[in-house]
Amino acid sequence: MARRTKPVVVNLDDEFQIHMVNDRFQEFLHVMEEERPVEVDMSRVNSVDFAGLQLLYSLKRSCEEKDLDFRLSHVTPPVEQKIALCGLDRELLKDGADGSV
Amino acid sequence: MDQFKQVFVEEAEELLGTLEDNLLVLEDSPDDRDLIDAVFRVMHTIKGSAAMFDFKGIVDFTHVVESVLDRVRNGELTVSHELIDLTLKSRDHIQSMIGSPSDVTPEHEATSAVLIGALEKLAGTEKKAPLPSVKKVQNDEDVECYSLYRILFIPDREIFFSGTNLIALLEELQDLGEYSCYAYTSSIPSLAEYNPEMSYIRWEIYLTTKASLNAVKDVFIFVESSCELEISSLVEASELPDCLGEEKRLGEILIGRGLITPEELSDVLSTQKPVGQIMMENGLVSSTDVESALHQQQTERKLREKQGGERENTIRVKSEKLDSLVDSVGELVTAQARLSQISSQYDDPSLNALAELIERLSTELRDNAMGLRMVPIGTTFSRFKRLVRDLSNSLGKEMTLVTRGGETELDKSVIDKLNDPLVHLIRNSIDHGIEAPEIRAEAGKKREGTVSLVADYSGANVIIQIKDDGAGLDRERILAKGREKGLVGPDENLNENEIFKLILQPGFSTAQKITDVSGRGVGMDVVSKEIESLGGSIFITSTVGKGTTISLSLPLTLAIIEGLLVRIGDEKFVIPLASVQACLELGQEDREAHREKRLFPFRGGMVPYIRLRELFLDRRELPDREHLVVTQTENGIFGIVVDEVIGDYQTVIKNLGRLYKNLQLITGATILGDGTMALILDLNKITALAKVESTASL
Amino acid sequence: MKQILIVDDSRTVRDSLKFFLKEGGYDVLEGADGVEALKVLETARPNLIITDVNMPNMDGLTLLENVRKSPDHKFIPVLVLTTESQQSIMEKGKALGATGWIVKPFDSQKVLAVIKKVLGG
Repeated sequence: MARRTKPVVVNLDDEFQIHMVNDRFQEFLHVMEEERPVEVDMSRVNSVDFAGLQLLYSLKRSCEEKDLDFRLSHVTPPVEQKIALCGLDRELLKDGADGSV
Repeated sequence: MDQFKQVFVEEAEELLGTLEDNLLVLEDSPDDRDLIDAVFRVMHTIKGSAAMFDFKGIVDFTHVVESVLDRVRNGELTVSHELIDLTLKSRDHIQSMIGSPSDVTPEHEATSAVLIGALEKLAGTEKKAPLPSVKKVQNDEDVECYSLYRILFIPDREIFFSGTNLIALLEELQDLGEYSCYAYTSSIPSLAEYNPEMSYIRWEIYLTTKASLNAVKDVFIFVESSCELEISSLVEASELPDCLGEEKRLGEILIGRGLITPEELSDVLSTQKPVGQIMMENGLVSSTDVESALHQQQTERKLREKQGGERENTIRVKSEKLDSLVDSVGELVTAQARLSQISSQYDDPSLNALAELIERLSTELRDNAMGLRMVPIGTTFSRFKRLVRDLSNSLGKEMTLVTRGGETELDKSVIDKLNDPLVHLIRNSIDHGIEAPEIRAEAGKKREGTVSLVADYSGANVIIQIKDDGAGLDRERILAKGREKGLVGPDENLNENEIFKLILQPGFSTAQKITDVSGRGVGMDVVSKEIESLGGSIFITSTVGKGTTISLSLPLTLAIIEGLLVRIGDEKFVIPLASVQACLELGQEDREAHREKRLFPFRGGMVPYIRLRELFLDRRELPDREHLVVTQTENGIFGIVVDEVIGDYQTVIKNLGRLYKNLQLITGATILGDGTMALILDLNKITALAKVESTASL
Repeated sequence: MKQILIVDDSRTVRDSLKFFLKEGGYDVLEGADGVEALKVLETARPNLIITDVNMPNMDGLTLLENVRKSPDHKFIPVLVLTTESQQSIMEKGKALGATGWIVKPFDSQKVLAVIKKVLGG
């Protein structure tokens, strides 16, 4: 486990899709500047496409590079299914990244 | 559906009404392209609508009439009295078929046959035109057995720009059977290098399904041109003697190869999942093991395929692979230059011989590698035919597009980036250049305007010209507008090319009205930026009343240039060889003679020169002897004065990072044989600067 | 509810498509040609566009080009209606950024299947 600072929590909206990845991308860049662990709250996300999931993966990778913790929280079942469908479950849903906080 | 049938009948009646009027007018003015288009469109629409209800009789019949009219539209057939007559009869026939309660009666069929015969005779296509396949063809027999497919799916980086939803695609695969998906994420970068609109993923998917190979391929039907896709069936149903024993069978193959033990197999079989998937999940066998277990079968199958189908002599390769090949070759060329340099320092015949051999081989390899990327521009050209036809229709102009030199080859990356600028230039020519048919007729020109696209080689460049025979550019109006917009100083004198190039400036437009064609937001300034980014340049010539020619000069390739290595002080620079005309010596006396004016005699004229030493270094003492490189630039002929010309040099361009993008006079950098760096000069920018300075000092 | 814009100069095709789509649970917008469609897009961002190719004023491929150039709409999936399974139109469409095509004649099942393929479940 890396630094035990309180994480920055990013809240995503109902839709997390290609139309909005640019805005989210900018937001994630700002989040990384804080140099703190990152938690993405997925509770409100209902529809997600691959552009969205891939961006989450990139965020995770950025955290790893800086040795910061990264986790998804409150992932809803439909989103979880899509993550598994893309084969990203091992990357994005491992160790307690499911509903529990 | 019945309520739509009513709509269909009403709409068709309406369309057939206008069709009759149009046909009658067309008979009097047989060259009216708009009318021909309108007539064609009626048939097209009726056919499309009738197809909705499976009115096969009407669809088949209108299809023939439509094909004949399409030939008229393309100028292959002229409008004759007979044609109008037959089309009118066809129209009445269609009306009668639509009026009938069910599709067609036997009497209708008979009339259709007679009319089709007459139409085809007229069109000279006695052979029956191919009909659209209305009935779904059942190609694959239902495969009742399971097969295991391995699918390697790499979407193109730009896949999102085709509106493709990758998750929907994977869902469709999942619906076919047992699905397991491995994502290769190593090429997804961290945010610092991430482009959120690109796809970086690679998927390897294992699918156990009853669906046939074709059914699996069909999932990818919309994306096959925008991805790399490999579908192989690891276990083919047809190769299994007993369908029900499929899972056991696969296990047996693997046991036979000694990859798993019978105990492991029975463990696996006691669960309900497909065996291939379980074994891979449990790490008992890897995908390569499964593949190699089936190596023999695969080889046999490939052999059969070879014997069956005709063998293709071409292979498709991702252009990124070519890019990386060219990159490596570039590095090799640099390393080889270094080797040659080192070997010249030792008097060792065998080392020298080896260096020479490697030089020859690497040159050969470079040429081959570059050749792989070369694509004829013809395909790009032919795409514009449609554009021209559509544009001339929508603008009410009569146009032909003439293309020449389609076999001219250019680097693929150049061609790809050329599409948009060319589209814009052609649009511009048609929209602003070519006059309306009436105006042309008044001016004594042919009603039909011509836009020609011509490509040709010119040294290490390719010249592409977009020529129109339209109204030409109005020098005075452009200049006046330029002054008004503050693009040209009140006392600034510009030559013709410079004046015409004003139209490439941002925010410059002399178009008096915005048409739906030109008002689409891409300005001419974008064109000139794109061409510049390709290392090319634009020349414009125009004669009022005669037309305009825009010439794009582009480098054959982007990755490697032939350069002339020069030295100033301790710094080395590269001048692109393509623009070099001559190298002269500039002695003390020449300098004395031309000191003030900075002009020197060349081929009977006086040519200005620029001293790089003053541009890049301090103005300390000049060396005794200097060299003068005469170059042809878009600003005219200029001399570039350097301390020493070292010689020819083949160089790989390394882009300077974004940090240096504001550097004006340099296009890139290269690593020399001895490991030092040389900057590649942008002659157009340098000479433009010199020109501004010289006009300012006047 | 997912929204679909249908663009076709034939009222028959528009009406029947609309019927199928409504039955499939989609909200429908309409345009009779490319120009009308662009007008609709000024105020809407549908989940999908289905367009005919041959239309007056602005044809379907030009509409497609415009959609792909628009910052707000460039990622919207676009399906092209073709009458014949004409390779050239499909290729042209793909080159301009079409997501896929629907070959006429079509019935409700076929249309909804293609839409599901593109939009997902």
